[in-house]
Amino acid sequence: MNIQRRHFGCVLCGLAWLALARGVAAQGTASRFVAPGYQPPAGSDEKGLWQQMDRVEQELQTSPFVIRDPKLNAYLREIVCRLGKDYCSDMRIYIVRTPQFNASMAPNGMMEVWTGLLLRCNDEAQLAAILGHEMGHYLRRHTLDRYRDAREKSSFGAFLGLGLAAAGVGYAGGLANLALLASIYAYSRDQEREADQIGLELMVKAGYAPLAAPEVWQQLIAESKASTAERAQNVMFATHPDPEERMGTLSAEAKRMDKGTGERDAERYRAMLAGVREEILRDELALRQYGRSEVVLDRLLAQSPDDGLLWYGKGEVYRLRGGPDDPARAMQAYGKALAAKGAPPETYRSIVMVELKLGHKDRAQAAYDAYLKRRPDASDAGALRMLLEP
Amino acid sequence: MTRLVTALLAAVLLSGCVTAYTLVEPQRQTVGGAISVEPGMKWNKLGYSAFKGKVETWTLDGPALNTLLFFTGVPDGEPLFVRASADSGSQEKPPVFRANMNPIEVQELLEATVKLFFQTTLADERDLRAAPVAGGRGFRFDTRMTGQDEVERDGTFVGTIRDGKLYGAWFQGAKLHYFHRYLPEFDRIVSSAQLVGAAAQK
Amino acid sequence: MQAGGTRWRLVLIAASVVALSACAPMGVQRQADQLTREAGKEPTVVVMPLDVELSELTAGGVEEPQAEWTQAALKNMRSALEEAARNYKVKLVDYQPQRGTLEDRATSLELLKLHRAVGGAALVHYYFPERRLPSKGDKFDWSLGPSVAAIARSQGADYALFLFVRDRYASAGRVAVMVVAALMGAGVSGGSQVGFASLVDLRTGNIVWFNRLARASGDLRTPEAAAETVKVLVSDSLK
Repeated sequence: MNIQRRHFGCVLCGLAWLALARGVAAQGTASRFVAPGYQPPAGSDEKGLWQQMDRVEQELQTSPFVIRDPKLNAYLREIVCRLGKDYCSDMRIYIVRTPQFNASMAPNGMMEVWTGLLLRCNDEAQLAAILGHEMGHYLRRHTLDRYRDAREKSSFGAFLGLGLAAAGVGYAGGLANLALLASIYAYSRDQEREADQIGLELMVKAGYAPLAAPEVWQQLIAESKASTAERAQNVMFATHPDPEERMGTLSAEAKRMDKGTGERDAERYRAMLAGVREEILRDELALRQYGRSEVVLDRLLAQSPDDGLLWYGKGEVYRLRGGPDDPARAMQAYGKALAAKGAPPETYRSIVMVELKLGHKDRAQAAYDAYLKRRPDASDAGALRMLLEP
Repeated sequence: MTRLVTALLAAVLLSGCVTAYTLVEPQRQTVGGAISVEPGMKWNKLGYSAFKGKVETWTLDGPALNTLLFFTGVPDGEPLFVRASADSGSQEKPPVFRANMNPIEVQELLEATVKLFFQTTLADERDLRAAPVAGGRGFRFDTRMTGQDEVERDGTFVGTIRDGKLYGAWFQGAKLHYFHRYLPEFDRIVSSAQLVGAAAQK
Repeated sequence: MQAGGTRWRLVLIAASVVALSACAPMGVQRQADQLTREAGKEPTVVVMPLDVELSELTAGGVEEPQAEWTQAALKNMRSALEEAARNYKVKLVDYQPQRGTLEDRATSLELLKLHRAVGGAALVHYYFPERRLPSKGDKFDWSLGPSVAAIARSQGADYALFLFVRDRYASAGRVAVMVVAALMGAGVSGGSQVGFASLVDLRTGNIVWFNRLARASGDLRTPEAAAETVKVLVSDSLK
């Protein structure tokens, strides 16, 4: 039968490539990486894998979940090109609107970054750490290895319907297949360590501070402690197992490579994200996972205590949670927001609602007036007036 | 698209030997023991529950194309609706209705519920305004949502809170054709609505 | 869905394969016996991007999309369509995504996605008796709505042909697994198929012709079988 012949031929060509790719090489030599502009040989299983990823990418190109803001996309491209100049044109980046921390790289060079990740990075160096790590998977063709591995195991279990769309690609907002994703396509420990190492090398070469890398994992671990349910649903943890151990190794390596001169670019990072920050914050709040949101906001506020949007976000967490003392907590946060820089006009809108809950009608009215002053064309003015009527 | 395949096949299996849809005649009737309405045309009532909660679901062309959800007295502390099929352990905890919610908060609640249920970030509301509902004060707002199938859907929610419970109806359909075509019928149903039974007592 | 969910899906697919064959065959649903032909003019049918994907079910149950098979199937179906068009004197044009105003292009893209939902709904609610919508009676009245004018305008067509196929073929290894399982009294699915074709009148958006693809009528991997499949599935619609 056709198929068997093709597989036989490919096992041979596969092995040949594997031998080349896994050839012993001194650390830092480019020959251990896939070549720039690499295309898999025709008829190989790798080619078939790429073709399938191309089809997934086609779908992604028309997806309403992809953020197409030119400034933001150019910014991410710039970071990728800075990390791997020679591989710049081999990769395409898609920013997907999903309120979870995740980034993935498909074997054909298609990279996905979820907005939950963008929300959580403190600075450009942290984002570079993630992107560099994913580039490591591409440069060493880890996904291909995993795919071949999975196919060979006949006892692998029945994973009907998962398809290759899951290989290194997350569904926009879909957490349902988490466990399956993890078991098929989680990279091995060695591969993760390798990607970590490569990520660090790329970061240092590009002039970023390597200590940013272990920080990301530290932050994620702290966040996951907000609740055990959180941990179970964390996409990054599902596909990158044992974060504590990896953080330890990464930390030691980063310290070793740190010369104290690496860039962070926190200001620049925040400026570049200005266009989407409010939107992705709202996406996080809509999840109504108060514990986790509080941990994330507190951490971000520790770094930028004068950020009005973050204080507003904190206030929203309390307002939406609506526990017995939450209205007071919310008011406190809104107050800090207004005193800080960049609080959105919607802060007043929230104050209207909370003051009404607390029974302070006059203050609610004053907040409404302040809201309209800041947003004269507010489309929800009528809705607020409705609340203020007796 | 395996998602679509699975959904289609799921539709086959779940039905089993039981008819999944029952006919709703264009005559006065009571929904969920709480809301009396008079539809102007034939509808189909879902016999199986994709949406679990104090809801009843009708459709004209199939749930993928349009749905009319009646909220028949959601009490304090309960979500609007959750997925019926998933096991409760794996589900994220949904936000719940509170008797002291104002209309903006109900709007926010629907948005959060929809985003969780349909696993999407693309859902919003606009034009919240007062509206007469079931002979008393209520409110109305429009919705918009894009689900995993990437089909954009328009919707309208009409509701009121009586005696600490939420009563209402949310009509949603594909933005192209399936919502706007039947919006007049939804408006007709809403105008005809009355609260009955325990719900009618203030 | 966790691991339990996967087994559930297996059962589901197995059951539906049975259901598909056991269902009262509804066959082709036609609204109009012939395409409306203006005097002396060939009706133009635009072939929307063929939404086809073929995959292989390996022994371990991994679904492995086969790009080559899909490409071959697309090619085969396209040529079979061409031939049918010649026979019935219908002008067939390929969908050109770059044609038309910005707004028409956006609407056309939305309609492509809408069709998956509408076709899927038609498939489920018309062809599976347990899922029938009683309000419709025996009517088949699914439509894409009047905004199909965007496709008519940008593509210069009178009708649009949509094809959706997801087809899983059991590999040799999989067949072996199936045989062993059958001997042991267990059921293991051998692949499955979901497919439908619809012809849409671009003046109204109504689906004037709809058909469900049944496995028995075709294996899309070879030219002959693909031609046969297309003939059964679609070419009648071009009369």
